[in-house]
Amino acid sequence: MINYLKLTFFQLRKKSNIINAILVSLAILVVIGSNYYKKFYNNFKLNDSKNYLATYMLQVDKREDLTNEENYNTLKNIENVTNISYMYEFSDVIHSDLFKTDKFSGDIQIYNSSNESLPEIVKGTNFPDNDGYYMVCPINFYPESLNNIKYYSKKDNFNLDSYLGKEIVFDYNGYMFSRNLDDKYKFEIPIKLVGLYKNANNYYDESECYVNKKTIHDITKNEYTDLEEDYVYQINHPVYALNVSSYEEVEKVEMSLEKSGYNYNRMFYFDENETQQINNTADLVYNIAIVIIFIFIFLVFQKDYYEDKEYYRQLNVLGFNLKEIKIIYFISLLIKVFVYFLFVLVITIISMLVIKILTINYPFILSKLRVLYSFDGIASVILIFIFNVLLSFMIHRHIGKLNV
Amino acid sequence: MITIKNIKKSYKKGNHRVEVLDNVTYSFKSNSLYCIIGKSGAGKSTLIEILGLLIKEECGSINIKGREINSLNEFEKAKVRNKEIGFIFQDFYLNPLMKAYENVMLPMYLDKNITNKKRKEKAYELLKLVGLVDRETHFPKELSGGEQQRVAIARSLANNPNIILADEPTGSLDSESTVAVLNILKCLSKENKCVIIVSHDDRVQKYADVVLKLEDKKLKEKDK
Ligand SMILES: Nc1ncnc2c1ncn2[C@@H]1O[C@H](COP(=O)(O)OP(=O)(O)O)[C@@H](O)[C@H]1O
Ligand SMILES: [Mg+2]
Repeated sequence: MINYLKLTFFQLRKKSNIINAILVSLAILVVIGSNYYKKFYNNFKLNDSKNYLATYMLQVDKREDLTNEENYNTLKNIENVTNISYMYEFSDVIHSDLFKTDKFSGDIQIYNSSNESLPEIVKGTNFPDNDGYYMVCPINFYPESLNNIKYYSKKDNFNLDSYLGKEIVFDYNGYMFSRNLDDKYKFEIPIKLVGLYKNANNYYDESECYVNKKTIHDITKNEYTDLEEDYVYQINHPVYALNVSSYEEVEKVEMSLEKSGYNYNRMFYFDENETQQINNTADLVYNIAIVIIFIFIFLVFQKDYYEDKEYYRQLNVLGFNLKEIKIIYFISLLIKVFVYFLFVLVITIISMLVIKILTINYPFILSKLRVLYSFDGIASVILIFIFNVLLSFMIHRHIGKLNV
Repeated sequence: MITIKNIKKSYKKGNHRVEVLDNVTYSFKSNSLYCIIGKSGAGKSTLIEILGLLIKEECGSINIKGREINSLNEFEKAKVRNKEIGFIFQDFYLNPLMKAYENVMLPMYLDKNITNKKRKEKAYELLKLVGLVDRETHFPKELSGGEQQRVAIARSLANNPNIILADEPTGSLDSESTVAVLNILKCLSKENKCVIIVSHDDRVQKYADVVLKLEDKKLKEKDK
């Protein structure tokens, strides 16, 4: 057989091949990126979202002209309300090295609560008074938000049995608002773990620490002095959280609340049209990207062909027949596509390393990047290449042919 | 060696056809150097491209070493070009991405039976023959016009053809290089080859065994 590879490689010495490879691999990254963008939004599925607890919960302000009990009963009697609980606005982040492991930073989030709204205590007591600093935690404690949770397993949980009844000294660094908080806001606070509530030993069950009002007040007061009155009021007065039987009934409950003179908010609001729109836009962006990139890569292929055209003619003058020249052209297309893929791979690995170094403290960003190379993104890139190779091959089927 | 009979060729120009060659008949012999002269636009290049099977005549026949070319298909014609004919062009027609010896090797790739090492050896030999030593690994742009044309000559000899076709081979060269190139072609014509040069350069006529003039679409021998 003729040494086709050798005859192809001569032409790969062309300098513009490097520029072509960079252009094409950037184009591939655009396809993969827009596929990621599409995926990201399409993951936000309308029907799944409706089943998400917060979408059929309402947050309702207390009516001041009624007593606690009257409020409770009025709300309870609204049709389709299945449950009522208290919610407090305030939460903050404190730190203890006790909760610091290779998985966790040692930061824990605490929530304002009161004895009426605490979960059922299974060990210890609820808050004994509002003069000291107290906290109630889950038996199986994992002190990070759900985002990171995929990365740890049950064995990473803290069993807090041994700390029950003891004081833990936390640092406060003003985390909620700024990591560069003035030193004057930093202080230590000893909080006594008075009770444990039962949660399941899995990450999707509740795992939150609650503190009494004095604790949250003393932790956050430095940052709220301007709004003192409102702030103290909010700490002491919970809002009600209503569970509605289903997402479809939320509007009915809202109407009833209006009639009864309550202020309310949806806990989580989404506009169906808007959600659909976002999905459609994401699809559209992806489709447009595919078309544009297809044309772009096609043009690069054509430019490349016209640069090499003289070589193919030359081969024919020197006695290569059209079939042999076609094979050389085809192999050169395949080699180039292969090189473009290598370029993408190298660019990706380098950028992943950079991101990894930059985000060493935020592993969840990497977890999102992992899905960047989704199957259909890669598949569309492969299809773009296959069609481009075939198209170029078809258009130039008379490759190398001399003027007759 | 190569015989043409009643060759006709015309090109379309606008909406009418311009006849360039009309009933050209001639028989070229080996061991001879031919020089074809004629005014610019007379059809010299057209004739040499027909002789080299690069373009197709409208009527007439071509016979190379006893083989009727008309009956061959594209593949067979390509093979004849590769084995029997060496080309030299005015602007060298080298591949800028290939080193001198690689350019010379290019036609040899069609012979699957010789090794790459052999090809390279042969290319070096041919470059030596045309007086290019120590220039083997230079790229065309690193060589002078005369040197490039000698690379092209070496390439035309790659498969040891019997026919060398040269279209204005000295057209882009200074007088010193012209003499060198003509001397090489003259030597080749004595080694049982048929060398056909198209040129309007008077110096070429002095080297030729036979001078042919292309005039009024016909090819005629010219007395020296
Ligand atoms: N591919 C072509 N298409 C149209 N006309 C052509 C083509 N090649 C040559 N010609 C015309 O044919 C005539 C002869 O051209 P050519 O053989 O190149 O002449 P010469 O080499 O003697 O100068 C010229 O008039 C030229 O314009
Ligand atoms: Mg000419």
